[in-house]
Amino acid sequence: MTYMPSSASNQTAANVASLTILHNSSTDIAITAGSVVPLGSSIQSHGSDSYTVSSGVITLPSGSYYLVRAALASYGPTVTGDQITYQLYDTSGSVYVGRRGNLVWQESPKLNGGDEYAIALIDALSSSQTIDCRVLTTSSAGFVLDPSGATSAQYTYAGRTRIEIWRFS
Amino acid sequence: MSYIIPTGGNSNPFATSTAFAVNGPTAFSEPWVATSTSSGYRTASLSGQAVGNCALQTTSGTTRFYFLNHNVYVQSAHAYYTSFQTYVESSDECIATDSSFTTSIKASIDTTTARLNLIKVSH
Repeated sequence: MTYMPSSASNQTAANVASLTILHNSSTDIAITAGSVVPLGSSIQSHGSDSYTVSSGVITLPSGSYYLVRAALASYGPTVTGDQITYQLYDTSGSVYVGRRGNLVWQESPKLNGGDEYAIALIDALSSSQTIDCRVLTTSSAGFVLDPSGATSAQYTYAGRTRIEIWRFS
Repeated sequence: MSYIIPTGGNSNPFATSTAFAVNGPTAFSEPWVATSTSSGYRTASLSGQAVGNCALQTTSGTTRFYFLNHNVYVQSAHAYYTSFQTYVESSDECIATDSSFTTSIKASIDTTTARLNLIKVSH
């Protein structure tokens, strides 16, 4: 995140023009390796930008840098040892970008390793970019994004899948 | 997001009005942040608005948590407890933009690992 020296406490190194949170408009989405995370809704947390999304592919308009963070929420079939990994994908260049995300179901990691965002800084200054979020691996079959009561009554203990788009100006 | 291991005395992000972490990129004093405790809830307030990210580990039970006034699943997180697993996992950070941040969990917080990151976005 942005670093600010204490001598400049009211200034940011990069100005956050907007924060948009994209998420699923449905629940109980079965996934396997290679699945593209579907996105059908958004929350405007800060600023007033909106993004075109088609089959999970997000278009980032030209003229800005974007920090994109993806966090998945899923039902795991066995709990102990369950794990899924995921990463942002540049659909124009057909290449994975940024840091891989990791969601694990186990006791010991707690906050240390319980989950990790997939993160990428996207340079769209000169031209628009298109990205999506893809599941890289699943430890077994049976994972379901954004479960409802139809999949697991324990869905109330967790959040939901989201992709945050931070646009810097 | 990477976890910042606290090593000093200000490890509880809600326990001080001057430092919200002792290591890492948030290890600096922000005079525009104030904290308070009311009825067990911890609140951090600031002038202007910030994007807030909070991660908590509970000392009892496992639950969804969020910032009050932002009770939305997509903006919520999963708080862990070592011997209470669930079939559903999500991010361990809740997120919102606001001028005041109060977590929905007011008790059973592991204050050695809890953190609140604020990224100011307006004055």
